[in-house]
Amino acid sequence: MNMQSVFTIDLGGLPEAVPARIGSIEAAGPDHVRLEVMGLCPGRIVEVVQAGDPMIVRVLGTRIGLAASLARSVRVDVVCGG
Amino acid sequence: MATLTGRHLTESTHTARPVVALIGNPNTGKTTLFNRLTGLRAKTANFPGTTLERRLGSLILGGRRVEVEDLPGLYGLTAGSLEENVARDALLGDGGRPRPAAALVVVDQTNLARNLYLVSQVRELAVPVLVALNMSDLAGSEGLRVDAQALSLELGAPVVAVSARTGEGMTPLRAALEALLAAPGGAKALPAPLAACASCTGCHRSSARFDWAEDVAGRASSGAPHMSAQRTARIDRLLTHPAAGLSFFALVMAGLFVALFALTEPAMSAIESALAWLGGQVGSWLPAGDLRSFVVDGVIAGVGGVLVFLPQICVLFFLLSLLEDTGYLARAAFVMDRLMGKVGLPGKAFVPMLSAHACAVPALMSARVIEDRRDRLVTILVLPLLTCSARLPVYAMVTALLFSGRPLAGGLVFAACYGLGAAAALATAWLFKRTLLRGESRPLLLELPTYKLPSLRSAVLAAADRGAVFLRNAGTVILLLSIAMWALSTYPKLPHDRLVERVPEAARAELRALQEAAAAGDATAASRAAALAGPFRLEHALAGRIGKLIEPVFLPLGFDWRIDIGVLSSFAARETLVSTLSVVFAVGEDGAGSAALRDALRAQVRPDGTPLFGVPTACSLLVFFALAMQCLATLAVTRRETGSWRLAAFQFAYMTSLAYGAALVTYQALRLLGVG
Repeated sequence: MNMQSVFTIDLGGLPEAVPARIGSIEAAGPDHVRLEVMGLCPGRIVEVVQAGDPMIVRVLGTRIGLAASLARSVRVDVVCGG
Repeated sequence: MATLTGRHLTESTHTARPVVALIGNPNTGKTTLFNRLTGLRAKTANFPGTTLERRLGSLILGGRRVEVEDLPGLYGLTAGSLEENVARDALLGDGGRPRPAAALVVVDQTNLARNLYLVSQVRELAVPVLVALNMSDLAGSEGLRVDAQALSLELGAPVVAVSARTGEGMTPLRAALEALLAAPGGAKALPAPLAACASCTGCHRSSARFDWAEDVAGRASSGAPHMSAQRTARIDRLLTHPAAGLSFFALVMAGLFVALFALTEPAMSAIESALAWLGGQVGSWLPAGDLRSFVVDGVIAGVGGVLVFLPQICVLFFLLSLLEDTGYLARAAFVMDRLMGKVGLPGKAFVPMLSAHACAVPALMSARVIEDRRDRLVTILVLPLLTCSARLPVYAMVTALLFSGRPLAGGLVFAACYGLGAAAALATAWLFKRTLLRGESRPLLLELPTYKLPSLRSAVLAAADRGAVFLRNAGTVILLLSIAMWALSTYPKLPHDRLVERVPEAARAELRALQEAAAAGDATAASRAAALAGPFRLEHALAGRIGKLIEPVFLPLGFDWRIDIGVLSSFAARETLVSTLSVVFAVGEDGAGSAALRDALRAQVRPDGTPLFGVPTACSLLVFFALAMQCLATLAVTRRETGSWRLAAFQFAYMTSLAYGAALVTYQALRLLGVG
């Protein structure tokens, strides 16, 4: 057994500079597609650069400005310890 | 998305001019590359059935002319937004258009993984693909190396490194494009990993595609653009900071606004004096009469009314192009998003709203940066409420009337008018977002590109392009409507004997003496005679008759029929009010803006002997002009930008109603309070 534990939270609650893997997107319709083509889709590693509303996240090497309401629809897995 | 590689349809290779579709993510230098390829021969039109702009240019490849079609910048082809549908249709040759002979995909090599997502989607369509690996100058200076050969193998498509900014690599790119167009057989087969990614189904398609993109980018490149990333991070700590970022934004916008006025002022006066000189020249060699009046007061004045907008349009788009190239405009939208969100508009609506304080026409054109259709329409609808510079002569005239010699009070009135316009625009936007154009606004989601040096060349081309679009699409309408307004205030003409009848007995002798002196060649006497006869001629013309007809409508606002003529004539352009009132009150057009006009206005009385321009009427006139849609050019541009006369008509109707209601309340309230 290792000491790792995985927390699932939404991107809006992710502290700055903590990389996390995107698990699922709960936004509906057009917002879902917009997030997806920007790279905010399951499997990608995302990091909060600047918290707030709007916030700045980094995904696929680019900084993305993001409304907090959208960030709340992105579920991310944070790996702690290990 | 079905894979269409099997269909080797290349209809357009059979026509004389093959079409190359240019596609790429935003911020990849796609427009700069388009300009490099096609030079100054680009034309701007709309994609069929949309108001989305489509730029077409051409270049000579191997002795053959090839058309280049610039598709909207986008991140993916997944159907959803209008831009994506338009790009898909163009690439697939849907909607009755020929399939392009090739797709040129522009990729920012400093941002490879993200860009490859779109490349893979385009690669799956049945169209031959050439990849332009842009920003090679930047990559070189950062020690980033992308192996074009390796990437070409991964994609099964030729890849050429270029720098659209410096022009480096353009010759190999043209050669590769020529070779691609000459090669038979349409699109090449997909390499296995890409084909696997394309055939993968289910909800994680995008994930598989991004996995592939990151994988390929990792293998094809070595090094990373650390320097520009760190520089961007450092600058952003300041420029996107909730407080410091807003202050910097205010500074940039103030600079933009000052530059907009300072840089355009000399050009606008030059245009005005050139046309005045031309009018004088033409007037001196055309015989006095209808033809001269038509050419000088109708056509030349109308052309002036069109040209005078050009400096502001060109300067605004020049500066915006520079700001956008640096990457700052994305930050501006970011820091304003929360504030603008309070009225339901995105942060990107702020720049058009600021520009509208100089002139609504370029501002309307710059509203294109707003992606969401409803947000863009609401912004367009409310922009003309903001205090543009054409309102200033009217405000100056009225404040001179009320507060001459009291600059502080005059200044306060000006400030109040600016405030009224801004408050009305924001309140109306809020209302429209909740009623007519209801719907969730698109929450902010935008790329904050790395900061770069702007391209002067692109900025000049952007300015020239916007100027040309305005002249071609709105110029004719504005000119025709100006000529119509001239006809209204000229016909029917008052015969000379009936003019003499109408002039009060006391002035008849003076008029006759002046006319005799004028006939003998005295120019001063001629203009004084024209000034004296002006009110009677205008009263007799259609404009005067309509003014009298609608007097009951505007009387509750404190306007008599003479002010109504001014309101009517200034429908073409607000500042016309001043010159029309100069004619109506017999000061003569040369006296517009002078103390003579102020004194003439002060001297006017109503039939009951009270002064015409008391405080209630003056304030009501100010409120009316602050809110009314008195600008043909704006209407013409609203139509062009929305593609609909109905929206332009609605804009006119709601603004006029708002202006009427507010002026009515102002006048009646001040009268009840016993002011003036």
